[in-house]
This record gives sequence, C-alpha cells and structure tokens, in this order.
Amino acid sequence: MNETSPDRNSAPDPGADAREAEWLRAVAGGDRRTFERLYLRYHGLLTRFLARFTGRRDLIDEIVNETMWVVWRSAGRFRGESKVATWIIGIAYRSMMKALRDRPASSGLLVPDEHHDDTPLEALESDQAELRDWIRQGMALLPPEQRMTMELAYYLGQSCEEIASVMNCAVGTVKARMFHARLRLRNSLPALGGERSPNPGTGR
Amino acid sequence: MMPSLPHRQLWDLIPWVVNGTAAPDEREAVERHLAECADCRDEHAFQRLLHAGMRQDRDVIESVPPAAFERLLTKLDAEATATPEAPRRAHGTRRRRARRSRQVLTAVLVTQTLALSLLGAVLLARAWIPIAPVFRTLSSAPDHAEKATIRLVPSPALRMGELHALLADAGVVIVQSNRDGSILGLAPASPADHPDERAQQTAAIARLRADPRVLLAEPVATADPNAH
Repeated sequence: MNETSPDRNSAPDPGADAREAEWLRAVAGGDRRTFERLYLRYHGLLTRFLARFTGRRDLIDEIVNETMWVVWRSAGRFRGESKVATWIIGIAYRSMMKALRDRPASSGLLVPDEHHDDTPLEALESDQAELRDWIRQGMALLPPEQRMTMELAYYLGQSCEEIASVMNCAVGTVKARMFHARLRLRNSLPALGGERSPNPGTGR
Repeated sequence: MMPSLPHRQLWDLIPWVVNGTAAPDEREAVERHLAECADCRDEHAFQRLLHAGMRQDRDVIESVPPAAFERLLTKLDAEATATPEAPRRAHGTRRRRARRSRQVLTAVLVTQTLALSLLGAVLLARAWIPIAPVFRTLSSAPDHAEKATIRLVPSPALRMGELHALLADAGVVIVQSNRDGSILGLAPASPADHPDERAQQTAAIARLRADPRVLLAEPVATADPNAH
C-alpha cells in the first residue's frame, strides 16, 4: 500500500485534510486498518524531517513510532482546530524534543550529520549538491529554535500560524525567529545571497 | 487590494510567500513591492534558493521498513492489555472531562436505580421461589469450570447488546472482567456440548477476530492451572 505524503507545495489536494480528519475519527474508534494507512502516509515525511536533525536511523524510527503511538492514543482529542498534518507534525516535534531531553548527549539530535543523505550524491547536479552543503552548514549555525522554524517553514511548508501551533509559541515569536534566522543565514552564506547584506530596515 | 505596507512588514512576509502559505492579498502586496525594491528582490531570490535547497530530498520516496509498523502494533497490543485505555478515551480536555463526569454520574445514578429495582424484585421473588445462587462474588473461590479460556478486548464503540450478541454467536460467555470492563475473560457457554475444548476455543477466537469491532481476541494460557 502506498500513501502519498502530505505536501502543500508539490501535490495540492484540497480534500486531503478532510480525508485525514475522517481517518482520525476512525482511528479514534480503534480502526487499525485506517491507522496503518495514516502510518504509511506520514512515515516517510516524518522520517525525512527527523533525518534533518539526526543521522541515527534507530532514533528516527523510535521517534516516528512514538509519534504515531501518540496519534493512536490521542486521535479522539483532535477537534479540527488545525490541519491533521500540523497536528501530527506537532506531536513529532514534541516527541523529538522529549528525546532530546531524555538523552541530550547520545541522541545526536540537532547536530548536523555530514554523512546522512537520503538522495544519492551522484544523482544530483554538482551545483545542487553544493547548494545543499552550503545550506546544511548554515543551518547548523542557527540556534535550535530558529533552525526548527526554518525547517518547518521550508521543508514541511507550514505557515507562520501553523508553526506557532507546532512549537506552542506566539505567532510573533515565529516571526522573530524567522527574522533572525534569515539574517544569520545571509551573513553565514554570503556566496548564496551574493555580496549584498540584508537590509530589512530600508524604507521604514 | 491590501493597502501598501511598510517595507519591513513586506520583508517579513517574504518567507511565507516563498513557501506558499501567505494569504493571497499578502502575496500580491509583496509582489508589487518586489517590482520597486531591489533589497526585497534580492532577499526574495535568496529565500527561494534556500527553500529549493532545503527541499531537495523532500520528494524522495522512502519505503517503510516492514518491521516498523509491526513493532508499533506490538506496543499497542501490550498497551491494550496492560492499561485498558482505548484511544478514543485517552486524555480528554478539562471541559470534555467535566462533561463526561456528568454523564458518568448520570449513568451511575440510573444504574443504581435499576439495580435497586432489580434487587427489590429478586427479594420479592425469593419469598415465593427458592432460587439457586447463579452468581459468584469476587471474593469467593474461583470455579474451575468458569475459568477463562479467551481474553477479549472489544472496541469501546461496541454496545452491550451488540457484545452479548457477538458472544452468543461465538458460543462464549463472560466469566472475568477488569474494573472497567474493557478486558474480558471468556469461557465456553456450554462446555459439555464440545468435548474438544481446544477446537471450540479456536473456533470461538476465529469468530471473534472476524468481527472488526474486536480489538484483541487471544487464547488464555492454560499451562498453569493457577494462572488468571
């Protein structure tokens, strides 16, 4: 069984959220087949997302299963106040933070992994590989909250309000984190952004 | 059309335009601004590059390890056996808990009323007809004939009448239960009719598992005669 991962940018599907909400209601009633569909739909997305923060596959698998276990247990609590994807991503985020708290030294979480790569390097054009390496290095320089904000926005395609929900903070906090992350990345990745320095205050 | 926003506000909106989550009027305002602001055009190009670079592996199809979901199912089974908390009953909000508490209290009150009525009727009947005890208290010695041979975890959505019909169909009766009735011990309804207990147990389990409202139906180990 193949389930397409939820993805706002590459596969717009306006009915996807309603369908997933329906699945959650079935899961809340103990429907394991539907739970498996939901699991297959999110496994790849969550795995790749978590792989951006750690190269330990065993830990990634553990966090994904912890996330989906919470989904199973808490499906009855979902009241449609956010998209199902945002709700599940929020659970994954909290599961990852819990793993970080439980074993900060050994988890390797939020430590850039030079060797982890889902895509064969030879399959990429050299400039794409270079771009990815530059970004990886720049992201590693960001404080964890700023890095997570960038990953949620650009990798998972979450909105400002959705990120606030996932990270349990104010929308203004998300905007501030994004602001500072952008400035840091512009300063740390001059080759990407050209030699121009950011000037957000111009024209105020 | 959105009124013209200050440069700084439009600069803040650029990431959300890039990732496609900005509102349509915000996107239009930013696009109008880009036509006249070189700094924001530069920033927009930089953020688009970042966005594209970060999403390079976004659409990689990754197979799910076959064992991964099985491990999760094992955990769910263990959880269902250890703590009879079905997903739909896990963690309510305070409001829902309060509402549920009221519903539970109402149900308890109705149940108590019915029980008292039933008790009165039984006491009246006993005055005329000698009734052999057909029940057993939890403190009384377990009757070996009523020892559970099947452990059943029904879906919380299963109503009592539906459960009874299902059990009757499978030829079993409830002989044990945990406190809230979410895990049940079953025994053959008519053991004398089926000399082959194992075959009867297997058939009953197959019937129970065939029902989608059954979360778990498994044989109870019988090697230890003292096991419960």
